[in-house]
Amino acid sequence: MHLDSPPRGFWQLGTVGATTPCVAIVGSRRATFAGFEIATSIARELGLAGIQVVSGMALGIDAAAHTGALDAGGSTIAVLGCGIDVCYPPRHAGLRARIVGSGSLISEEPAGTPPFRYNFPKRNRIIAALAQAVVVVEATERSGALSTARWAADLGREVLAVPGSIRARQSSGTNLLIRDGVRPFLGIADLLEAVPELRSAVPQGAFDTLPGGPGGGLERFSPPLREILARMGTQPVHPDQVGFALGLSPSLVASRLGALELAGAVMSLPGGLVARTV
Amino acid sequence: MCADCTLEHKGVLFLDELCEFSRQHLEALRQPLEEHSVTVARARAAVTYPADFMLIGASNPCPCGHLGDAQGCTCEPRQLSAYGNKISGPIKDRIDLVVSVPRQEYRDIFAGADEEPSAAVRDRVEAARRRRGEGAGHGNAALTGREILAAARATAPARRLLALSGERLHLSARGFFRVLRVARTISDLAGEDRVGEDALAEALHYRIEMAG
Repeated sequence: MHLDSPPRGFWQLGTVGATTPCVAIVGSRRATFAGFEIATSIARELGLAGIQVVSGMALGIDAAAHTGALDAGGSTIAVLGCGIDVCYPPRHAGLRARIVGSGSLISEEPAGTPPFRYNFPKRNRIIAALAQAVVVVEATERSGALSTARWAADLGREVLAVPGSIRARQSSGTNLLIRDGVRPFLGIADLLEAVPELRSAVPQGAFDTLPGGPGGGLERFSPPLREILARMGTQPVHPDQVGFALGLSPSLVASRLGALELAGAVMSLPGGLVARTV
Repeated sequence: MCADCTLEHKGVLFLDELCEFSRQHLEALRQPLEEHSVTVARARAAVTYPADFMLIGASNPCPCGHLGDAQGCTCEPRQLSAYGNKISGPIKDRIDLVVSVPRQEYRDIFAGADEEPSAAVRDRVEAARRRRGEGAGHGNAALTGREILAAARATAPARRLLALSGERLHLSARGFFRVLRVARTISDLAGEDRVGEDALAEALHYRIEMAG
């Protein structure tokens, strides 16, 4: 595994072992909605192309990465900081079962090891070692995702970081990486350029037939609903902002958002904001 | 909590910082919210008092209070879910309208003079009640399931939407009738005879916001 301190052994639980090539997607546990969406969509594209996604099964970006890969019918590896038989965080029991079903869990800790805080930085080196490239989606300056990036750089793996606003706390770590010379990730093309093996490892044209981003496929909605979606953009907004921009009454906005929520095109977030999911 | 419930009989019970109440106190609201009465059981006797009130609660979106605003929330994910879970499913199921109120910006405090005065809102409400031929009673909230189904006179598209929402949102039977009552009230205020698709979607949005 090219590590100076390789693990003595692995515990592995699952149906599909680690394959080559694979890509790690890591980031903050406290991700923003946009970060969550970005991680999911990168993982989905990789999953569709048959490239395995590696992450750490933590809350936030990690969970989005595994979920995106699984939703696309792809395979994913979760490297744990606790024993192979321990579900941490407990609320990921469902996700854990799905990962076992079409990928695997890996841990170097003996079975039964509780999620000790000091084991998590250690498992980051395994994530870095398994993957050909590491994409950091969102990270604060003190995030564990930056330690994964450092391990990856030491091992000669490609590291990419998704840039964010210079005022966004959740992007401060990724922006720092970029300032220090890490390649910015603006789209899957950047990943393919950084790691040409990815393109050669998947069937010809796998990346050319990907579903379009926001804007496509909205014809199924009526014009009033499309008007709302067009106004929403990629960031979560408050319903009042949408109503103010379009000159619609709060009750009309509520009614259209209700219809869009039922159609699965809009999602309500804690704190009262709404975000597009199409 | 029991005393407050009966003191506010036929009135409004307003609980500020709803999520800071203990779970035990909030659970005590279940019976009065459903049966409009509260029973106090002691060693020698149990007494039932009337408690037909409108519950209004206010809460921050999260412990730090900044979830969803420009400043950004600093709560841990665990704190967030603990805060949200303070209000149990059965209590949430009995709350009809959830509206998030964003932080007011300074320029709006000085500029905002064009909002509707409360007197005008009162006129609208009274007009709606007259149209439905109701006195000072509790209106749609007092209708039983069977009565609200009849009173809603939901249009075909509204009925389709309701069926879809039952499936997607896993509405309980109670939730189903509650959505219908809210939709009936929205239609009353708009002066519409039948509950249409728009009124129903609006009622659903007020309920979904809480699920999120």
